[in-house]
Amino acid sequence: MVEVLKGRLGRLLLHPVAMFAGLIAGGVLGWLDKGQLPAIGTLGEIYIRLLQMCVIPLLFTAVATSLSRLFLDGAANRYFTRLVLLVISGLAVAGALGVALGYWGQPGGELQLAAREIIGKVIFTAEASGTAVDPEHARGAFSDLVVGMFPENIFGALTTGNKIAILMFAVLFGVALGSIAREKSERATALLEAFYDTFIKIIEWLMYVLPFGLFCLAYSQVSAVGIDVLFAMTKLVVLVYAGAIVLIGFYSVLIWLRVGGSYLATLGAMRETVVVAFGTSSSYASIPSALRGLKEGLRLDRRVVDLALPLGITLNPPGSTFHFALATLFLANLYGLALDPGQMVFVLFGAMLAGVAATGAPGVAALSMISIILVPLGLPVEVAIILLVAIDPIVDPILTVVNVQGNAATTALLAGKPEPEVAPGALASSE
Amino acid sequence: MSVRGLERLGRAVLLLSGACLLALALSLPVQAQSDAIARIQAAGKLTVAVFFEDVVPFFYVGPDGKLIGVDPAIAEDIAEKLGVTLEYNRAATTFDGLIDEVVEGRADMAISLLSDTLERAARASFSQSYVSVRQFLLINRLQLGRLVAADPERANDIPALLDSPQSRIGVIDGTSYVGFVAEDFPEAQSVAFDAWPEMLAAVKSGDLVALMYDEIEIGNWRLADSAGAVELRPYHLAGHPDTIAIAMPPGDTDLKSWVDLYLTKARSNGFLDGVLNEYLYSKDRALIDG
Repeated sequence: MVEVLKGRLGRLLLHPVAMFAGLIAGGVLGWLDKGQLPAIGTLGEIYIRLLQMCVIPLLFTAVATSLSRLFLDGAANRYFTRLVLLVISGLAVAGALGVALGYWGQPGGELQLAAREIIGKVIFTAEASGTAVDPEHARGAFSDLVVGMFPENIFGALTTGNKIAILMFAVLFGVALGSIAREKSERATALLEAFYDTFIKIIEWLMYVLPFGLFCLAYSQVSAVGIDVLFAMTKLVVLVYAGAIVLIGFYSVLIWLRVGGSYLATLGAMRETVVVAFGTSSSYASIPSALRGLKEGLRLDRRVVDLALPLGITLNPPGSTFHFALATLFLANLYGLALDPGQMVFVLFGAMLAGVAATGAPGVAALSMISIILVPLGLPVEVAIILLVAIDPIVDPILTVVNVQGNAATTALLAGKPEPEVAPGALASSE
Repeated sequence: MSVRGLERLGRAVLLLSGACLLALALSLPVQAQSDAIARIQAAGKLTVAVFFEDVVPFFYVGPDGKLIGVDPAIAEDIAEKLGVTLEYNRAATTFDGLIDEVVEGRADMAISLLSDTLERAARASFSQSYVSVRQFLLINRLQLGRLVAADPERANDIPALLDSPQSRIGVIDGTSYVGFVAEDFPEAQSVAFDAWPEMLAAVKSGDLVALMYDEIEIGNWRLADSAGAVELRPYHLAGHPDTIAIAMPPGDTDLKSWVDLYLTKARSNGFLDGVLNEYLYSKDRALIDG
């Protein structure tokens, strides 16, 4: 009897309706009382920390074990080249959509005086209070980023959470593990897999409280949104959402075409991931759920999913690229700068580069990577950063979904047809 | 001790006390001459010279017709502490004219956004400074963006970027800013304007890359033009703080000591900060934090 009740409660909590209810209730409450209950924000913070707690060891074990398996099977090279090509073309599609939407929609053109006044006040307040980020840090961060990709000390990188450095090490470690004596390698890989499954288990437990976690996160996120700014930059925000939804739809069709079966089943497999990404605005926090969705929901090759998804989430951000391209056109509109076709091509490539650079930088520093595009165009970087920070709480959720779903699609394209239903952990390649 | 010895001691004591008396007599008249506080209290009123035109937020007519701002707030407090009423003398049509009003005895002091320049200090005596007016550049963001694009290495060093023969920097003719621009930006072209509105229009249109002025006028611009920050960026220049002080007649040494002590106390008990935060650094006009 108790078991039955438990099972029912579990299914109820994991049901998408419960997740959406939590998200919407939190958002509505945050909207109504403007964040007067800081305790809810604190609970949300704790929940997101719990979700992210296992992400680094999970990244490491996933990438190392999958590479080791792929090397043991001699299938690694083929995947690597295709992964790089898929990432580059994915970023190009996202960036091109950003440029096209910006060109067509003119998000910063013909702003009303009232809107310009609000934007002016936002800029002024940020600059006068000293909260504005100086673009100089962004510039330093770019060269630091390249150097920072190589860990000086792997334990140092693990404790500071330098994800790109950890991934670099995980790749080396996995390749090396796949190259040593087969018997030893398989034992070590099996051990790492056990750890990996353990981390996934912790995340699965956390998914039971997801509706409450989403409630808390949505509450603090919504109360952080400035209504004035939303009004002044409506056109940009609407275009970001429209473009993001187009991209998410495009990715789901790609996954469906690759996996086959019914389109609704494809959507169903990824729904939890979409909700987690939207609710947490953290693509890392969505990794465990995305891994589960791709492997268990869509039955994709475990080795490819464990390699391509963590690598992609860390280094391949189509959402950021799209956002940077669109934001650059917004700023060009705001300053009355008409971009010629050559400059638009530059914006496309600049946005791809800035997007990749942004993956290694935390928070506001990630947004400041837009300087890579703006400085050569002569547009004021400081204004762009202030305005992007101002709308970030509104657009970050949907852009996170784009980043996660873009990588899910890349992974699906890389993995090929789903595995037939065989015992998990089977070593045979699916192709 | 012998009688002679006693006599010698007595003479020495006499001599010494005589010398002391002389020294006292020499020093006393200086203090005794200065009775400005007694004079003000006897008259029952403190006359404060203020420049004839309003300068927001230092002195200006408020909604109820009363003079308000940083300087009137200090003047009222001084009058209250001296136990007298306050009267304004707004005859001066130049800032140097304020010194004339004080030196020629038509005002007890001038509290009127008056810079304590060495030239003025040679005529009147100045209290310690109660506020420093800072200099700002107001930079056209798009013009600055062009300079950054041409020289991205120096993007963080705005003054160095602006110091190039291509950049035109605006100043009001006849002010100390003409000298400041020549000193800080020797390579740049200094463009002189007669009035603020024309200079502001020139920097907005991109004809100037920047203008240089004080935080008072630029703070007023910020209040009046909310959308302005989209195009223009205030940038603090630390080089030439303009110290503002109270001028008094050179002989009124007792009054000067009293005003200095008053300002020290007003600073330590928070009164001065309160006044400055209310008028000069209020949230809607402060250009930089702190």
